[in-house]
Amino acid sequence: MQGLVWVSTHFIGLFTASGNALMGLITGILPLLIVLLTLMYAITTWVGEERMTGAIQWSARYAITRYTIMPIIAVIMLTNPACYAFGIYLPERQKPAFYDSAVSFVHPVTAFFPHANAGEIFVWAGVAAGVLKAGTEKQYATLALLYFIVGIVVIFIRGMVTEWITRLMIRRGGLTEVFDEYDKAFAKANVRTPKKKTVATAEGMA
Amino acid sequence: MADDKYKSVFVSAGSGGWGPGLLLEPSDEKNVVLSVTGGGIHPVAAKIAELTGVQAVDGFTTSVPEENVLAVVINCGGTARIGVYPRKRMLTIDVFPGEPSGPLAKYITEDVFVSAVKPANVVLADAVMADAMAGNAAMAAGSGGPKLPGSGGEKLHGMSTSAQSGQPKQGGVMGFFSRVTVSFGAVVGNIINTLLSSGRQAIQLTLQTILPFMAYVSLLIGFVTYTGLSNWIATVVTPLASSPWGLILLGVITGLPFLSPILGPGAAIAQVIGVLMGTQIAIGALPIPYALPTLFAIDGQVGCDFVPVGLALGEAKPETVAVGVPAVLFSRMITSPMAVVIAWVASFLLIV
Amino acid sequence: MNPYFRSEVVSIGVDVAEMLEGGVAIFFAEPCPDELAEVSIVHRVMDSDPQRDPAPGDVLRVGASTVTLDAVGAIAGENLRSLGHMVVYVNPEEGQDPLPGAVLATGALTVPTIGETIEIRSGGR
Repeated sequence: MQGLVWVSTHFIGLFTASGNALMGLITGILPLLIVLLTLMYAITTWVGEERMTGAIQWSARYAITRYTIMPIIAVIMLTNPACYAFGIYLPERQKPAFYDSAVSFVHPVTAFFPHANAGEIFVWAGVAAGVLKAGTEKQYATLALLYFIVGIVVIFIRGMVTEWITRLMIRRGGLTEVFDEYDKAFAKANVRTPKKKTVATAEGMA
Repeated sequence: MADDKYKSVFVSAGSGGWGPGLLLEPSDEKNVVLSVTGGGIHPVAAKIAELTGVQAVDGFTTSVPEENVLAVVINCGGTARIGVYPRKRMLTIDVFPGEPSGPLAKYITEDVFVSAVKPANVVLADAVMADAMAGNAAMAAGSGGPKLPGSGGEKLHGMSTSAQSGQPKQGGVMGFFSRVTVSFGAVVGNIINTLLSSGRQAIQLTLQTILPFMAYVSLLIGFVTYTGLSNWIATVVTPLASSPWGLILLGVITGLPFLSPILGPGAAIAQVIGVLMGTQIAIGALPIPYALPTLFAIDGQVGCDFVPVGLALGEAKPETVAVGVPAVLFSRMITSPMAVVIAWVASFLLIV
Repeated sequence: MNPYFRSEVVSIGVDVAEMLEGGVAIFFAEPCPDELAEVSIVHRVMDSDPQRDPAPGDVLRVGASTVTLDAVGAIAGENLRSLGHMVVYVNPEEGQDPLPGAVLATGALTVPTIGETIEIRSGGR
């Protein structure tokens, strides 16, 4: 009998603890999240897809925007995982770097735009909930801001490093000619000259 | 109509409707709005005819050459008319809340089709421009609270003049005010509708994605805290997470090429660790500034499991995938600890 | 049992065969705009009971082929009364709800010839 009481006590205790945790999450972070999500969905509706695609194509041209503005807009507007589709606006050799850059932003972005990766918000929300409890609201806001900004710095570095390593891999794999062909095909497909320049700039930066 | 030229109208989707709306620009050639609804001219067709100045014709009784048709008004239940006219690239206005369906669904695109249209959804195109401004005015006035009568009134006046210039002459003062009210209402309605549907999306996401995850995480946390496992994890992870070197080490570990694809899927592990770290911060076991480098330290593997798929989404060639996967993984060995360092430096801003 | 709806095929659109292959038959009564006639079996209503809307279990006969109606969309009855318009999805995938203007049916429909009869009557029993 005592054994059964022990089991049932702990059984109930376990679920009380879980329930408390759930209640904490629901009352703590969920309301803020829902209204934030609502506004962000509305904004993306108002901005519209066309305007955004234009901005993305423009930002694909320059290395500094390619691994900052381009992934940021892609992630915010198209959300994870559709955002990676914007790789189509880049030459083959830059696609891995863009992916790396974009995917590294899908968690920092949730600090302000939870809709962009709502399925994985707890990387941020989990840590943030603790800060909200132990610290001040100002600290929470500062943390959100810093996470976002440092995120941008990191994705830029990641983009540049990955672009560089991709180049090494191409050379070591003896695929230089294959990718030269791809570059040519890309330049041909995008008759607009600025696109061509992207490739040149990227090469120059090695 | 009295004037010698036609007016353009904008037709937006009604509530529950589909499509961003259509701009109808009548000309001497395109001067008929076809009502293929049965039972004579549908009120929506009549409204379009009234505002544009074109003729409304019952498509079932009168035959009109395709090239003269400005737009077709239908009341389709989802198969035939909804697809037939879009297939011919004729502008199609469904008074029912239809959306692409049936065997001709692929032709039903947002540049030729709009649905759930009521007469109120048909407005003069000139007025739409003014509406956009009025919308801003409405927002501004709304947030202004007590100032509303003054500033709102001014803006309203400005808008109404431009709205009037685009209107056929009718109705005098009464017509003028009713138009202002109608277009004003349409804009406010539009804003509210967008917000409402956004809210719906947010709630849907909450129910389908966020709450289930919360339930799962809560069960996990409950288990971990109740069994005392959290203290154990804390004693292991906290020393690691409570010094910059430990965090950098954590960043190195998560960035390891052979580990990161395992840690990746759905960010499940990073999320659980995130929540655990949060509980540690909440009880004061970890200082708040460490939250920032922690966020990056636990996330070094992000997306490493997804590289081929992500690249495929960007239509990468097989060779690109072949070099891209190792490139991303190797890059992480450098950038993952680097990110922690940057975050650690930035975290000094949190102490203030 | 007598059919509650009876009509005669007057023309067959060029796309009808293709639509039927895809499992959809579209009917419109005369007069019917050309655009619709292209995809439709156009017919002339000879006899119809305005009190009676199609219901599940009814049998639709088109020329030599028959199908049994399984589900009827919300405005299918009104369409038939006002326009002689009916959209039949033949042997649709399981568990599909009919579009508002459509009826779902099982059986086999073939393209009729001009002059043949279309009938709808209550099911067997």
